[in-house]
Amino acid sequence: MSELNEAGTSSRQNPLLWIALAIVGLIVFVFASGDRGDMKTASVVVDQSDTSGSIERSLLVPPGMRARQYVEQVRADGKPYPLSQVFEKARKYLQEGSLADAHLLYFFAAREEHLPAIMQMGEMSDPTLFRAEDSLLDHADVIQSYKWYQKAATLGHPAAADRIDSLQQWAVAEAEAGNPYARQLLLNFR
Amino acid sequence: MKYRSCKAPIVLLLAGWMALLAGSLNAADKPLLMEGKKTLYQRVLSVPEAQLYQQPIDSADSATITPFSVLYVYEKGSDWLKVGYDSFGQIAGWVKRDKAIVWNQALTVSFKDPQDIQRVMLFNSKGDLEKLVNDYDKEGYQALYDAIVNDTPPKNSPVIAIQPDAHLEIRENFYLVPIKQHEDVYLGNEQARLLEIASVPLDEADDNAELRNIEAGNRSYRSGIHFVIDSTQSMGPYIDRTREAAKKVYSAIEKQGLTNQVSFGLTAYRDNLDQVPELEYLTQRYVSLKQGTDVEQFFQRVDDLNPSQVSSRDFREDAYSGIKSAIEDSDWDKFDARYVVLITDAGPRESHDSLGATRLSAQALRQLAYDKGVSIWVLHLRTPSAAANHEKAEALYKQLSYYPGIGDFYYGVSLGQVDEFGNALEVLANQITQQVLATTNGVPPLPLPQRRQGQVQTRLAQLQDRVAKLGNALRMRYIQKESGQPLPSVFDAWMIDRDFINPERSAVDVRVLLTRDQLSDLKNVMQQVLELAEEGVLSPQSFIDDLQSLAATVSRDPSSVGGSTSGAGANLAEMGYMREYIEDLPYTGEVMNLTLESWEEWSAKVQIEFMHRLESKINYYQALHDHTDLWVTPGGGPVNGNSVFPVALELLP
Repeated sequence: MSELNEAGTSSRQNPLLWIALAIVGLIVFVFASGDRGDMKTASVVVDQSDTSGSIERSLLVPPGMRARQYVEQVRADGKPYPLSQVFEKARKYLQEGSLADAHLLYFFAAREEHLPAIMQMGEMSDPTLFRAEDSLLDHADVIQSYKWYQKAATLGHPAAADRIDSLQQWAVAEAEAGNPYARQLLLNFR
Repeated sequence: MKYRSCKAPIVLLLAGWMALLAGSLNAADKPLLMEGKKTLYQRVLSVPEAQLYQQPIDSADSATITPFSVLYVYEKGSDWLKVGYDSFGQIAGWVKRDKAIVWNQALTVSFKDPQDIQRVMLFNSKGDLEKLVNDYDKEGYQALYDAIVNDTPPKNSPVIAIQPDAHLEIRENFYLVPIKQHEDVYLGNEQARLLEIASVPLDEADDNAELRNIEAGNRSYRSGIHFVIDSTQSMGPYIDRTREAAKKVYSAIEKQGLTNQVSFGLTAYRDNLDQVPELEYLTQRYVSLKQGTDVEQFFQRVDDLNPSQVSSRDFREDAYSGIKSAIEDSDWDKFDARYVVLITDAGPRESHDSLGATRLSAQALRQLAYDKGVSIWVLHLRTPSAAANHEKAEALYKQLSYYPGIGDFYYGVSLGQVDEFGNALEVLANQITQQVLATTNGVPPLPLPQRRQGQVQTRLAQLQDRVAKLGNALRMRYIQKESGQPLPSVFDAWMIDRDFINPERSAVDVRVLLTRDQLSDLKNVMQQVLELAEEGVLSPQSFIDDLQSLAATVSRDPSSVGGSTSGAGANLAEMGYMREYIEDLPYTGEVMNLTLESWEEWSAKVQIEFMHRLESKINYYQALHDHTDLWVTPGGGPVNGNSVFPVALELLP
């Protein structure tokens, strides 16, 4: 009791201690509140053994680094790549709020023509579906969305054509109001 | 030997003649290169009176050239230029040098719609404009602008011409306003450019008289005010105040004895019924403008307005649905002044909000209103319950209620402060009343869009189309017409590329005329950079080496029309990605400015955003390239590699 009292007295007397505690608290808060991919961190602790789908989130890893290391490992193992696993891992990153890692893995799988990943890329940037809380990006990007839906349609995804129609409808209304991205998108339809 | 000796001079002569001929053909094969360039040719624009001669003599057969035609220069004499419409060696003829504007940089201007921004004034001398810019004399500029627009230019006006009322969309109506010189300046705190342009005059004196006749005419002036009211549960405590707002506006109008000329409507709205079916309706029309001519009936229906019994999903409601319904389902044609007054305590559901029914952005909805000549007024009750959303809501409502040329009609009220509510209401009511009064007196209170005026617009449109262009030249309304003097066929003038009053807005787009081959080259090079960047985002290790290697390949390509030179610079431009046709322009985009150091320092998010912007530009280049209807072939004929399109500088990499 007396130790506690002494400690309490001491900390009240030394404001630096409170400031230090506040800074530590702020750092923990920033890292724990999910990444949007734009933080830079020098120190790195990575669980490199994690390729099975379970994710152990380290607060000190720069956004995107775990995805890049995972991609490197997948590539090192050679083709065919386990794209369903990549997709699943991206989904888990998304759930935990690691948006940069999720985006990069979806992107990798989509480039390798994994249809669900292609649709995911399209939906993440679709202005009619955009949810900022689920996206690495601050805004929808209709050109990206169109590109991925086009790719999905070419590969035979049944919903892709409807999505493109929906984008076109959105663009017609927006172009009227002078939205330059909508106008650009409409150029692709003419 | 004798035979040989006899033949040798003939062979030599023939060989010499062939060499000369070959040399001559080679000279005619390609236009003259610009100084210091490997792939860029000298170009001129023909002025309106220019003739194309078969030979460089006055007595030769000649034909008129379309004003502001783009011509490649194949040969230069002291008074004549040998020209062609393309760079493939097809000679069109000769033009006099004083009938051609040197236009090597191929920069041009496209104007914004004057409904959205003040028209651009053209100054006779650089010094007069420079003085206004250096002093940043907004009041002086505005006074001058008002005088010019109202056809009362001051004596010795420094303004020689002004952008015409008519707006031509450059993608649909190709035109050129060539830039001869440019100079960077600051307008207030914004960077701007002084531009010397060449243009063709338009004397609108007669046309203006015709326009005034069209706009005059006996009208029965009436005003329609349609209230759109948020009737969700959170508005419960404020519904009385909302009624008060409507009554305040009415009584202000009544005091002016204008009630016979005003009609009221009322629409209530709530939110997405799929999420909360108990809300009962998304929008409900209580009174139409037609019914609202009867004021008693209107207020009876207002009294019926009740808030919902259940709470909606969050602090946003679907205000856009209410407004859209008021705009689309009302018979506005009977009203000269048209207002929608939104009263709400919540933010709206924007186009990307999956719970919104309209899928419209604030801009799109505003345009919908504007197209019908409706101005939107917003009374935003900033209640404590929705505090988290106030700033966002305010920004959106300001966008929504912005009326071109006037400003926004947003009134934010912090509730709990009765006086403030009363004051805001007073201001809103008075302003609407003044507008109604002005309309009743025959003064249209708002610059109504011309397209809504039916037959009048048809005549206007015809007139505007008739006067807007001459060949490829956009004609400018000419001010400095000396009595009895003919208008010049072409004139030079100075302008600034930003809106003088709001310099954060650009008044024009500066564009560069690219050929289709150049755009194709640009697209191909940027596509290769993008592919490296995509790989670099996933595996950053080899990105820089790959980029340097690609730079060397690109600059060695003998078939390229870009003419870049590989180097060891810090950014992409210096590494060899810069193309000759964009390197001397008064703009360098972020792609060419990208340094390898920056890329390495960027987070994954910033790299991805950069990549997306690059990809957006590539998409634009490809779409533009594929749209053959957008390309103009100098001299006519099918679209080819020399066909041109003016690409905005901001869209360059």
